[in-house]
This record gives sequence, C-alpha cells and structure tokens, in this order.
Amino acid sequence: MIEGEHSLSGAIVNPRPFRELFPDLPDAELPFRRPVGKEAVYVLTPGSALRLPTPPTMHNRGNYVASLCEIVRWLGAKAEALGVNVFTGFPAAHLLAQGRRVVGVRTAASGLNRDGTPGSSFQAPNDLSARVVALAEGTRGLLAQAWLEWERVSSRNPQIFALGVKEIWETKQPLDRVVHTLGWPLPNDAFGGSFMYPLEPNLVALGLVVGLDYQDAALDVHGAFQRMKLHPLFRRVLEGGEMLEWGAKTIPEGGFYALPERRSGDGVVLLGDAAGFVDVPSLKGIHYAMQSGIFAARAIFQALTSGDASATRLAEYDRLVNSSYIAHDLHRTRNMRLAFKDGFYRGGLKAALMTVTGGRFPGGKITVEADANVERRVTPGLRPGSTVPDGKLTFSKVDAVFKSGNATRDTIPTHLVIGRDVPPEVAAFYSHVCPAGVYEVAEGTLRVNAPNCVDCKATDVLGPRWTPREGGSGTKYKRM
Amino acid sequence: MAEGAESGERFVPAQYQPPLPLDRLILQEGAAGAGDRMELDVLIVGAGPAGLACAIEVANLAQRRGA
Repeated sequence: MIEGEHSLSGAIVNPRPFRELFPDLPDAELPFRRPVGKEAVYVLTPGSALRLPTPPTMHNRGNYVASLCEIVRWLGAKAEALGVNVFTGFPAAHLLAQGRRVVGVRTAASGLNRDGTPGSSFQAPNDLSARVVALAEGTRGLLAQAWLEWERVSSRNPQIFALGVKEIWETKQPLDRVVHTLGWPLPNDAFGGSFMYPLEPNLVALGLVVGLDYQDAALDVHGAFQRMKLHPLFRRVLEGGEMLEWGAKTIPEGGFYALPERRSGDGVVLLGDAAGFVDVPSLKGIHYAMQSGIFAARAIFQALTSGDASATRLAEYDRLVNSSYIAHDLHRTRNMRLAFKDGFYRGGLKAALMTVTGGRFPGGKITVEADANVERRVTPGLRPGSTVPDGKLTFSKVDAVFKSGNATRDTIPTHLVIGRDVPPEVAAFYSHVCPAGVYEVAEGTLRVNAPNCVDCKATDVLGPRWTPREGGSGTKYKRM
Repeated sequence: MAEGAESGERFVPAQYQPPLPLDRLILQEGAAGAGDRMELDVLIVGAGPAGLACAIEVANLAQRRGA
C-alpha cells in the first residue's frame, strides 16, 4: 500500500461496506461523526434561498456525516493491525509490465533538483513487483488511465469530471442540518451545487462542486465558492468563525456509461474512483469505493490461492461488481447527470422524470463528450459579483493553498506537462480552472507555479498533464 | 483576463492538451533506473477507502484460511 494524507470528500457516508468488513462492530464504533438528522435542499438566488422538497435520490436517512481523512486514518490503523504494510510517501509513477501483463510499479524518485539532476538527498525510484496490482489511486488515477489507454479498454461514454472546492470551519453559530444548494452562484450552463454539513454543531464542512463541462472560459470554481459564502444562507453560519482547512479535488461524474467495460486484466484490477464508481444523483462514492475494494480482495485472493492471476481469473472482480448494488445503483441513475449538459433547468426536469420512472425515461443512452472536447466561450471582462477576498470570510488562492497544509518543496522539478503554444485565452482559462493558483497569465504568457499544486487533477482533465512527484509532497489534510 | 481576446471567441481545450505519455508511464520490467526491488503478493496503489478496504479484506481472508 502506498500514499496518504490526500483524501478529501463531503462527506455523507453509507455505512454498508463498513458493516461487511467489521461485522462485530456496532455503528457507534465506526469512524463517523454523527448520523444525518435534518436535511434541507435550497435553490439559491443572489439574495434568497427557496427550500425544495428533498429529491428522492438525495435522502440520507441511515447515513452518517464523516470526514474522509478520519475514515482513512481509521481504516489504515485497522489494516496495519492485521499485518498489512502501509508505506506512505512513495507515489507510484510507472506501471511495470512483462509483455502485456502488469507485474508491479516503479515509485517516483525523490531529492531531485529543480533541473532534474540528483540533489544531495537523492533517492532512486524503487521497483515493487507483485502477483496482482490493485490501482486505487483515486479520481483521475494516472496509472489507471494509462493502463486503460494502453489496453484500449473502452467505455460507452468518456469519463467526465467535476471539481469540488471545500473548507472546514469552526463556527460561532451552530449548524443543525445537512444543507445542499443548487442555482446561484453558478451560471445556467454549469452543472453543480454546494453542500454544508455539520461534523459537530460548530464544526462545519462546506464546498461547491461544478462539472468541468461548463462553457464560460472565465468560470472560476474557487472564486464562485468564495462568493457563495457571502450569501445569507452561509454567511449566517460562518460569520465570526474561522476557516481551518481548505482543499480541492475532482470527482468522476460519468456514472454507469463511463465505466470501463472491464476493470480487470492480467495481473491488475482498478478500484473506487479510479474506476469511476460514483453516483452523482445521491452524491455518493465512498461506500462504492470500499465495496469495490472488498470484491477485488475476494477475486485477488481466489486468484492467488489458485496460482493464476490472469485476466480470466481476475474477471471474477468485474462479475462481482456487475451483479452488486454498485452496478445496480449506477444503472438506475445512468442518464441523470448526463441530462444536465443541456443546462440546469431542462436537466432538472429530465432528472425528475428519470427518478419517477426508475431510470427508464427517456430510454437509450445520452451521449456526452470528454470535458476537454467541450467548446469554451471567451467573454472578456470581470464576472458580475466578482469578490476581492477579505481574508476572513473569503480567501485568495494563495491563502487557500496555505490552509491545505501543502508541503511540496519549492525546489523540485515541475511535475506538470504543458502543451506547446498555449495562446493567452487558453492560459487564462487554466488560471481560472486551477483552484490553487498554479497557473497565472503575466504579460500574455503562461506562468506555472507548480509547487502550489494540491493534486486535484482539474487541469489534468482539461489541459496540462499531472505527474506524481517525490513522496511527502502535496496536501496534509487532517479533517477533509 | 484574456486580454486582447475578442468577445465570442471560442476554443476547444483538447487542442492544447499534451497526449498521455504512455511510453514513459508503462515500462517493461527490468528497465534501467531503479534502486531497490521488493517482491509482494498483492500491491495496492492508493491508501484511500477503496485501497484500504481491499487490503483489510485480503488480510481477513488470509487469516481465516490460516495462511
């Protein structure tokens, strides 16, 4: 096992796979903060909040408010107690293959100078070979992507992504309910919404999630999130409080039709977000990720005990997923997120009809393009309502990155691969996409502040490619 | 931003995106450049909820079998 301290999610968690993994533990001993009590969904306008009936897919009775960081630390301790070696700080940078068969990974080197030459603390990459490699790298996993492309594994739709920006606040005012919002501050052509969850009455997680298939090239998710907090619905809770942590990540939103047709091959399986097991209408992925891990474990164990880790054997993992609630849930909502490519209101109406008909309306499959293929519109000038951060309620990208605990050495080689001849309007687009201020336009040219990167993968989806860098780099989330 | 860009100008981001460097991401075993080597039965890349649940279940199954 490798990696750590980079987990981020809402999160409201369905406890089902925890009960399967730990049948002897009562829910009270699982790593959750509190059961979901009151819930409210609002449509926002700049000054008001209209309460909606909670859509059926968004009911959370029986689920728990939790911090994914805390869940992951707890699971990590359980794994170590069972004798699993968890090596953190060794990012996997390459797949190792023998012919077409996956046989291991090579980690990233550390201690390189900015120009790529070995520095005084240089450590060469290590090769870890294994009979089965499970790729559980999370959203937009690099090695999972590379393997799928290398093996030409297709999916019926390309995977599409959203970017979520999130903060943890200690508040003066208690929050007594789980809140979701739609509408303002997003334009009609963007799909997304916000969440605000009480981890404790005065410890609040909130964020804004926006599909990366929007058309306005100047849309800035971090900026929109900062502006959103000025709305009375949020301001009432946050004012006078303190922002403790900030973070960002992408979310695979393509659902059923974006799943790779197989998530297993010779010596390899793909798990969780890296495989795309996320249900957008219920805003859930953690329990699918864990369940896919459990299924993979069973298939891997059978393969190893029979001495055969071939694609044929490991296909058992796909069979287990395909006949489980993971595939069933994603199939039921298969077109819901896709309907929103036509805009928020038409999408909302279609999604409502899909809910009523159990996914049968409108029949067939809604086709989408990869986010990078969606045409962007350049409209110069500031967006209405652009805010200047006040450092109390609203924060600049630089201040935000500081609150992610970012520990990247600022003298390592850049880990971002930029296209050639990026024109100024595309450079400006990157500067808006990136929530961490990695990209800036100075005198018409793109400037890249790679050490700011929080590994959210948003620009990896839309432009410059992300690659792993030395262990210990990146965020140090605690309660995200 | 986007100084000089005309109103209504459009672009497709994929046009400026470098391809995934598959030849660098997937290496044949034994390729030069590695330091230490380690051999394992199962290697899980990523210690998030999916990877850790997988590790715990593999360990449970091995324990149950007395392996």
